[in-house]
Amino acid sequence: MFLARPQLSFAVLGIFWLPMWAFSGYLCDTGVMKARGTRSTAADALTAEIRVLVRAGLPVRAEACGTALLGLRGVKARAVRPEDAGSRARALDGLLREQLDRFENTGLAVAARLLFGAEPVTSGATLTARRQAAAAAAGYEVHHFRKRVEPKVLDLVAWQLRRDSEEFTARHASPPELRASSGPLMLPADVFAWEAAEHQHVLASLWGAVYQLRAELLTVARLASMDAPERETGNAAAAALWRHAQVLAAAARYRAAYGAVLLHTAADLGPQEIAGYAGWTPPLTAAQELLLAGIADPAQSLADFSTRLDAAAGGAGLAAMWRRALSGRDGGHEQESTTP
Amino acid sequence: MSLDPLLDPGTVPRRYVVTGGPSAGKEAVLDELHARGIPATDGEPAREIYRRHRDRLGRHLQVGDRRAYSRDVLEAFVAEYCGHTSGLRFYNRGIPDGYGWDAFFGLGPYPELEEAARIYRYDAVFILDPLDDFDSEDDLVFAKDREIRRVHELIIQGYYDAGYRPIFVPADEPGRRVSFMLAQLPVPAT
Repeated sequence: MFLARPQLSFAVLGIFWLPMWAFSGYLCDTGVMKARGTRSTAADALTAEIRVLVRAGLPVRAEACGTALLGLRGVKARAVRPEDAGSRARALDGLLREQLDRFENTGLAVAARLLFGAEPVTSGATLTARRQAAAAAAGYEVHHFRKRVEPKVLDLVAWQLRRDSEEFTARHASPPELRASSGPLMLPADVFAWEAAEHQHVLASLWGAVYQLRAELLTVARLASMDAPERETGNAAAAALWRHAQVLAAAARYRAAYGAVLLHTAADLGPQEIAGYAGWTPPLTAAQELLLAGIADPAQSLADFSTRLDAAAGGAGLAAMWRRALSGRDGGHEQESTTP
Repeated sequence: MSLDPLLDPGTVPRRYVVTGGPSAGKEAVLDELHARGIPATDGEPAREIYRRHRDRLGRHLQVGDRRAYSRDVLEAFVAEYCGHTSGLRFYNRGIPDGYGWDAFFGLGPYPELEEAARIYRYDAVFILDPLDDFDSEDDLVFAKDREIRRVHELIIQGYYDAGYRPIFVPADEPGRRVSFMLAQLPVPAT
């Protein structure tokens, strides 16, 4: 018979049964046990939904889940089909089991798993039977357990689920964070690491292009505000178009590698939508965007880009429209050429 | 506990997975297993398959390439599973790691993976908790961007999806981690 049980690890680590006061202290420290008046409605809703879930026990069924549980970002991010409630429920089931296996209160870990039916001995049992087993394991009389301990267990589960969501998925698309480093970047020889690094490479390239575009858009806005000579503003607008084309090309490279949606963002953002983070740009047709992405080459200069755009069908007109729209000037008399 | 009964080649095959996200210290744990003479995967088959795919394509894997890579890795995992016929063996990742791989790229599991995860069962799964220096300043830039954590969590989710209850191995030096893992192993019935 296989005897391995995760909770044995605590014994190996020398972490033994914690008294109840430690549990209460932990909850206070982590903000789980705030006074009722200070609790957020969202936190209450999540705990209430977990209470409903406990009645049925594991495995999680979609019909036993409320919107707060199924809407957790950590759940959506793990679901194979995030748009499907059943798929989210399966993801929640795995996540809940993991959180119970990693229950933050060592002394109540076994009781929590028994209560939810995550242990074979209470799997499929009624709530009454699961509660009795949990109370016995925790060393409490069953009514005391139900009234005093069980709510704290549910609070802690809710807190762990919220923490997981906070840590797991970015709330919105944000550029890769940079930090000072005192040594060379060392990757483990691991395919997951290679893929994660490649994803970061493509993402960093995309964000890099977005920041380059932003810099040019700011210059155009400054020059327009200063009422700078038309040629100067036009040149800045042409540079912005060049950078915009590079954003479109970087977005196309991302899509080819990873699909139409940015991986691991809470919102279903497409890579091309990140371009909007640089600032307002004149609306372009799909054909115009395709043209720009096609002639953008990160290794080439602005002059090379402008030459290629001038030579392309509709390129000069596109550039003139862009300049006019971006600088807020009617460029009717200016030459229909992109070359600065 | 003596490992001799488990290492006896005359006993039924027992298969244990060692897995976790990058930077979890998997290599060091497998090296320690080898150093103790405990049968374990040599290298990581998925790495060579990955290199072969890149060499063949001449570029990085794209959306349309990933399923083929995933299938090749699955095939290698199944072959490694079936090639072990007696005694104890630790595996460098297991078949359900495929769930994490696919999920990382927003792909759903495919029928062959589901079937293999159902048929080829491991006796236990050890998930190495990320090492303490997981987020240290010299570590991966993208660790802070949660990329590595996502991989780790998706691997864990894959094993739960496949019906396992993983055993989490705390961050520690490799020798103590291996001792912890060995302490979880069953004593075979005589």
